[in-house]
Amino acid sequence: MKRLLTRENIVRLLLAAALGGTIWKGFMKTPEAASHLRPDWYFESLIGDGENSAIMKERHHDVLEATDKAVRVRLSELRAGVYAPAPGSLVSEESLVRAIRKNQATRERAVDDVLRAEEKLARAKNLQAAGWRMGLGFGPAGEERP
Amino acid sequence: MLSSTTPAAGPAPATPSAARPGLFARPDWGLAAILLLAAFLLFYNLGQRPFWQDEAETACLARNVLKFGLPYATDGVNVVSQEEEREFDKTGGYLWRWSPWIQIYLQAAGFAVGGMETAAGRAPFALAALLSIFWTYRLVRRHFGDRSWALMAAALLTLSVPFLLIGRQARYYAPGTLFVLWTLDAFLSDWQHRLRPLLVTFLGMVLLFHANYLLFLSFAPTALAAAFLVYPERMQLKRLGLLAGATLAVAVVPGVLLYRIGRQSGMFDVLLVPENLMLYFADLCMFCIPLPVSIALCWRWRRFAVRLERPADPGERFVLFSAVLIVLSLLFLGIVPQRFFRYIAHLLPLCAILLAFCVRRLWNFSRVSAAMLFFLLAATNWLAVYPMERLKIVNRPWQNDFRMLTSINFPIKLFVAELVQGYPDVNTAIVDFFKANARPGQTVLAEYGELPLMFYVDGLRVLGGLQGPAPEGTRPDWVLRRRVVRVNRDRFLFGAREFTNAMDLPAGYERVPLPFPDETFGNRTDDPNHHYFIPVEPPQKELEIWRRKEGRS
Repeated sequence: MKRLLTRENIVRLLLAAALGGTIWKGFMKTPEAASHLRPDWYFESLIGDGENSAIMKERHHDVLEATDKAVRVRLSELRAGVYAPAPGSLVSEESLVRAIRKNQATRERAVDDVLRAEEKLARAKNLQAAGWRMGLGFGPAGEERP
Repeated sequence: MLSSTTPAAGPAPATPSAARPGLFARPDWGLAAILLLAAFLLFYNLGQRPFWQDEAETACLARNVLKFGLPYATDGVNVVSQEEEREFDKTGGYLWRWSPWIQIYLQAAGFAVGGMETAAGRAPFALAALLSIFWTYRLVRRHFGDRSWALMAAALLTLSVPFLLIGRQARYYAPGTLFVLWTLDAFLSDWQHRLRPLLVTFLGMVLLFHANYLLFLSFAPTALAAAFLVYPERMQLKRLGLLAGATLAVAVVPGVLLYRIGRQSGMFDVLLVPENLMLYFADLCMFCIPLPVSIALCWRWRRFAVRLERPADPGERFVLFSAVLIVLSLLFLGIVPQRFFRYIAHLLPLCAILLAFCVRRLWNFSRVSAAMLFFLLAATNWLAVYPMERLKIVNRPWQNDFRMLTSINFPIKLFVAELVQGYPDVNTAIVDFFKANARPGQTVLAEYGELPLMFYVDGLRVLGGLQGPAPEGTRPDWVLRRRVVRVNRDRFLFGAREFTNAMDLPAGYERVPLPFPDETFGNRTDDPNHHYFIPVEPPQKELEIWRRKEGRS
């Protein structure tokens, strides 16, 4: 009699289970399925993601502002003669001015990042409040409303 | 598990002649159906979204080609530049000497045939993408004689949304992919003894260089290294030397001088290498070959990694060659300072061939699993994204929407939704606004998106963008400020931003209220992380356009 419990069959079974599990888990995480079948979990995930982004970007912005202030203080000290770089130091008036100029671009971007993260969070909350559901077809905005 | 074994190293057995059917001896309806679907996905609504910045750069140069015969960076009024005017010498007549010319001439050909339309400009590139799908099928069918494998590879490439996105771009990506496939097809032919495959390889190399030299530089040495590792018996040094010498003499040396590649080598930054490598491998796992498949193949080919034992099966050997080539290409590209998905787009057919091989082999072992694997690869991105999420290594930029390729989705559904519904593109909003409101001869200072404006709106003088500082004393009639701040090579603000920061806009200008969201790029599709398929809901900051108040000079 042919044995069912062979090494090959076990591998076949495990492989099918892994792929089937991925299909099941993947499908349940798509916006189409999750927004209909698990809306609470889905919108909590979206809002959680938005909140994380907002906090991260706000902190990033704060760090850049603090860095900029510190560099400016150091530059004013250097110009006032209060601070003198050690011999061989990489810090000079020129390098500090360059750092401030480079930081300006990063800071301007960070300001917009904070705003964009807040927009992302607001969008997630609005979608939840509106009872948004992802449509199954190719709708105008890929969505349907209840 | 998968049936083939990995015996000791040795020459690969010749493919049986029976496995090389006459390709056009009888019609392959499966292939015809795939190509029909691919043609729809590549050509439908091709001009709906306007050129974004990079495509518009090529379009402006192509328009100048039709006027002057050569790609000059100026039409006498506006200057095409995204590198603060490093791309040309003003004293040299503004001849474009930055990126290779094939894409410019291809787009010019499209314009010459179809008129100055977006779809006409993109059509030659979409055609190259369609041919790439055909050549993927042809390569597998011709050299390995497996129709199912060939069809599945073509189908997976057709349904690969990153490939479709790059195929619909008026840039070198699709032609580069096609040239790579031609070269590999010739390599698998008997180039050691026959003249034609040798000539095709040479031609493929030359075309690849003039499509994009970075593509050439990342492909040629890594393909050579992969070939030495996987096909040592095929490496005929005399012919190889001839090929390398001819390619160097005909393409590389003149190209280095024409495109002034030395000027761009100063961008190298060793600190970027680890991040680049990490992100390229993330791209590979997210958009090309799912991590579980890579792990399974690493395990299958462990003896190759340890003892250089190569698979006996010619098909599997080519798949191993493809995998080695992909890994080496990514390692090479890691040292290039600028990192974009477009630099690995030419590897997508190889990924499709590799994935189709896995499905084909799995079919002999477990049909249920093979069917599930094919479904996962063709219709979803779940196998790529879900394991990365579980391992907490998913590369999903925080700005991404949940209806993008970096989240679990049905990618092809998102893509078709955009195709059939259209997308409210930011560059359409900008172009339409200035067409309706600006008068010929007026000056627009645009922080970004200046190249689509130059291409689509006649008679305007367009300054700013990534050209460098605006001339001193400029008093633009219009100012377009963008929300995303861009920096130049030195990481300083671009000149246009510095210029508008220094302006007292409320004093001399009035803001025009606009309902259009200021999206970052528009139809940038070479990098899946940046492409939105479905419009994002409000709130989104609107475009910022300022009009000079009447009577102000």
